[in-house]
Amino acid sequence: MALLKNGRLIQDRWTTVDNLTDALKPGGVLVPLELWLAERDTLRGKSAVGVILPNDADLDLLADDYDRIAAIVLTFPSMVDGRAFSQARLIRERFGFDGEIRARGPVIADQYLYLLRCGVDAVEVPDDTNVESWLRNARRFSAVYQPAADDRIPAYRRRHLVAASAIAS
Amino acid sequence: MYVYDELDRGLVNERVEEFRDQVSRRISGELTEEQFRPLRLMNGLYLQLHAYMLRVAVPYGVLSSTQMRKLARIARVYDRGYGHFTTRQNIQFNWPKLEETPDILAELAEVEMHAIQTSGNCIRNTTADQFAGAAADELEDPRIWCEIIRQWSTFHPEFTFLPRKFKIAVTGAVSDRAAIKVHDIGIVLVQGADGEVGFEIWAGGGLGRTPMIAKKIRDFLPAADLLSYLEAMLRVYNRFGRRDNKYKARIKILVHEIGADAYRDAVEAEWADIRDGALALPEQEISRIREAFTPPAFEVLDTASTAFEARKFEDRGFARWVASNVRRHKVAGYAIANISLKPAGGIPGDATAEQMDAVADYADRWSFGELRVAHEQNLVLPHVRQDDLYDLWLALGSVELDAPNIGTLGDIIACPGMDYCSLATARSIPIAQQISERFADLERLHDIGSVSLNISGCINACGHHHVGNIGILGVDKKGEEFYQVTLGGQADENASIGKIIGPGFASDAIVDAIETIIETYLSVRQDDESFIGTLNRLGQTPFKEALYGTA
Amino acid sequence: MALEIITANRLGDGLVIFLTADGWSARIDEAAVSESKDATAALLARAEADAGLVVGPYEITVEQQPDGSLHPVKYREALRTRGPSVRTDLGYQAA
Repeated sequence: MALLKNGRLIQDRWTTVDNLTDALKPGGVLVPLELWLAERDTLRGKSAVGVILPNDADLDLLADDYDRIAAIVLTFPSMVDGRAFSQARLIRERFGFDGEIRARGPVIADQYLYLLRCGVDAVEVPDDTNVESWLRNARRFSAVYQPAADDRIPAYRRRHLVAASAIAS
Repeated sequence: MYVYDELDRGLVNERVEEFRDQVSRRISGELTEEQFRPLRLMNGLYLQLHAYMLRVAVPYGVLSSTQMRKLARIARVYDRGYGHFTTRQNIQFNWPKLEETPDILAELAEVEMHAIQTSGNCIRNTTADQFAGAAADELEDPRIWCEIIRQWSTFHPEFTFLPRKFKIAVTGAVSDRAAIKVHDIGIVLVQGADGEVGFEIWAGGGLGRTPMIAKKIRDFLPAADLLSYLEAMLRVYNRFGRRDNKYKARIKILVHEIGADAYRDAVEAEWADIRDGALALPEQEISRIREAFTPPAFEVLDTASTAFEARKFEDRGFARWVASNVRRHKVAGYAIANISLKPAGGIPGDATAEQMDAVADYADRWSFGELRVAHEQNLVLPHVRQDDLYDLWLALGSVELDAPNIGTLGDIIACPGMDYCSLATARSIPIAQQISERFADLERLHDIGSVSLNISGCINACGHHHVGNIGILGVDKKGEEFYQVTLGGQADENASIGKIIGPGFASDAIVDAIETIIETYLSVRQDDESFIGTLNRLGQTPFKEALYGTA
Repeated sequence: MALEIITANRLGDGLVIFLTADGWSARIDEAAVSESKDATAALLARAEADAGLVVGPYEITVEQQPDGSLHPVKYREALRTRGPSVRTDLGYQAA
């Protein structure tokens, strides 16, 4: 697997581990939520730890941890199970998390814009992924109708900003 | 009507190009069918029994004459010369080719139409009172709020892969013609303590396998909070709605399983966090959209037209059509004219390209170019001068659209059933045709009066059988089509789910059974009591006895 | 075992088609007939390999008439070979 991040396909430097011994080895590790919850005092000392969240996880469990975690992995069991879209927005907008949020699972290029808008900034993809297809989808729409975790201005504000600035100038 | 600005136009055109790209990636093999299916569904493209089917959105049931002519053209050029109006106020074409669908969508975009989110597990076309902006009993035009919801729900990044489809209905009137209590979310415009307009919010209604009447979630929601509250409602559903079983994935099951109070608490908690955020609509935007629905330039007319009254007196056929198809308008001298798509023996909701073109012309001539689609699968000219009704009626007769049967037993709601639908377990249309033929006699039809009869060809209930005064559900019984009858359903402000009367009927016995039910009603009704009135007074017993004997 | 054939819809226009000995046909009578579970599985595997041409292949049970023609047992499938019963001017039945 590779990682699609900031418009480029890069090598994934994080390792997914499932036990404390491996988690404490050097390098960035992604650990299951349960392991984090059981060992968080030990793991907090480590600089590069990411937590893998099931898509039905209670986000409050990490309420005190968001500023100590470097990455969060959101789980998509299938491309049509959209629970993690809500999780992503809440983690960004409610908990103010500013580390990497990555999507793991069989999501496709046509969902990239939605992922980005909800605050996901990295996607695990096969090595032979057609990056251009993903980027084309991310750029496809020239306007948005609703606010989300990105900084795009929804149409209902943009229309009047234009009008207001036209009057001002 | 709402008119697209550059942003709206850009988005719809970009959507066409996105779908063109997706279709070519499917054909080239880059996308598998499993990946492509949810994408095509979100553009209204199904694969049905015989071919693809394209469902085009008619936002809250409102069409201009220009748009109707475009639909006629699409029927003619890309399909087989007809279209089918649906219970979600949309239109379906039954024979489009996959390769041509992007071209159809491009043509629709030219007249500010699309097929966005007419299927898939996302927020579907928001429906409304088909008399919006014309109804005499209306507090405010619900289309203002429908358009605001349409925009917010379009390409919503968080709510495009919900547990199941999601349907919102809005009414601004006292009489509920939008069936809001059988929707995932139902919205009623109400007046607040200071006279300001806000919303009563209902949730968890629906038909299908487990029919339920919605629960009231909020008595009064300030208008400016509409989107933040909807977002909270959807977020709770997206996170906690069931995904383990598609038949238990609708919001009605969530509300039922955790209870309306727990659902409300979760929504209110979520809302508390976002209500003062970016979703608060700027007052200028509400005004901009309200302006789009400014009433047309009505003439100042007398309430009663002597010419109109004289015509009714002279022409019995016209008087009968007026009595059943014309409704009171909020402006003096005007009327709402319903166009029945239910000729006796016809296919409910179907219209030919020629009929669509004709109706577009009548809209231009007599209704400010405006048309509506009703969820009962009929069309509406919302703003007709009483003095023009006679000419309209004659014109409708020339294209076989003058059936005087709105609200009667002839006005049957029916899903496409097994004649078209790949999910159906039995046919619906032939049953509707036989019943409307059996009751084709107008004297008898009007003596029977107001009764709704709804037919679904499977348990998914697209024909709304649960909320018909008489409901018919087609099932497969050992390879034979079989029909279950329910009585007592209502879709209006007194919404209720019909109850099964007894064992079902074979396809050659169902029409007789309906006739028995109607004859029983006629024999026991008091004065001018309606069918549902008699049923509510006497219960099912007399009907049961007539159908199955007294044993 | 009852006789089985494989049907699907064509990707490009969605029309009903049937798997034959060497491809696909709109005519049911040209379908390759299976008389065993294994033969049906083999036909289905062949059909699924054509995912770039067809959508949703599945097996249906048919009866063979003395003249060799094939008739689906289920009414739904019979409808698919003809077209809507309420519009006999449309679908294969109209040809």
